[in-house]
Amino acid sequence: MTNREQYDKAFMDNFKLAREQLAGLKYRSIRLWDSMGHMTLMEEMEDKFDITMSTPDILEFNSYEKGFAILRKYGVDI
Amino acid sequence: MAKKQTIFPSRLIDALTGSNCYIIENRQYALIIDPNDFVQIQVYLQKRKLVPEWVILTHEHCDHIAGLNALREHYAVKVLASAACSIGIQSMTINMTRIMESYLYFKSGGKVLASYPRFICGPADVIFDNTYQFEWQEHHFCLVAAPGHTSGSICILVDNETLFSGDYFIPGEEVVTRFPGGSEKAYEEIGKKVLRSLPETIWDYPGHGASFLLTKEVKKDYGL
Repeated sequence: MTNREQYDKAFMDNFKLAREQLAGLKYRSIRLWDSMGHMTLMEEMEDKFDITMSTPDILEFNSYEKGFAILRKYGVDI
Repeated sequence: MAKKQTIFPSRLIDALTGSNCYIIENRQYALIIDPNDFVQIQVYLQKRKLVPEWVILTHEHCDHIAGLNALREHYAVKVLASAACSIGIQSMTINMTRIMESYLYFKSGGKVLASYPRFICGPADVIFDNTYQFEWQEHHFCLVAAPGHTSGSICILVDNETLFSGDYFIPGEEVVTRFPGGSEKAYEEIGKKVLRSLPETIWDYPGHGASFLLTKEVKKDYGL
């Protein structure tokens, strides 16, 4: 599975979405992406890509698209 | 009418997380429930010239165990917890220290961005699966596993008339089962049954907030 596929899967599994629903997705735009859903998603990102994100980055990770830039900061090729 | 209490726990509140630690004392001995902030606990013990003997954990989340490592370093305490809690305190994911900074930020409505260390604790000294009963200083302790909020959550009933409910029955808050280790299914199938079976008109000392009288109406508010 590519990094992009793993990234998408984290969103799809956590928020019960199909891949075509991911573009444009924002924090709190759906019921499951609330603060608790966000923390679970962040833990999964850390586990999948073997990284430890700083709290400011976790808090900035507020959309599907924004996540790419943040993961790249940690050397994830995505 | 509430039953007459046989114990009068002291409550120490962690300033950052609002979690409660309770200290029950008898003569010069103390039993500690949820050691949240070691400095506060140590000051209390020294002031009252108490020797802590036991620590009981209501569940594995970091706001309830943050003082445990230091407490074990300074005192010869024995730690009692459910088997699942004992496993959970050894994991930064399950004890929530991995996400505590973000959690506190969200919980404060974006006002608090505090530093919170990631840590783990060693396993408990005495563990149990479903129930555990023991006597301490002439008081009867009955510990019952109540998974849901976390897999290691328990309720502590002392002399059948004082309850320590951990993160169940927090005044004004619904039961949360979405944290790491939490399970809605376990709460519905096991946790609720345990909470429903607890005696009524007894004082409850929750993991956050002030103590209150646990009544049939309170249980009803929680859908029990």
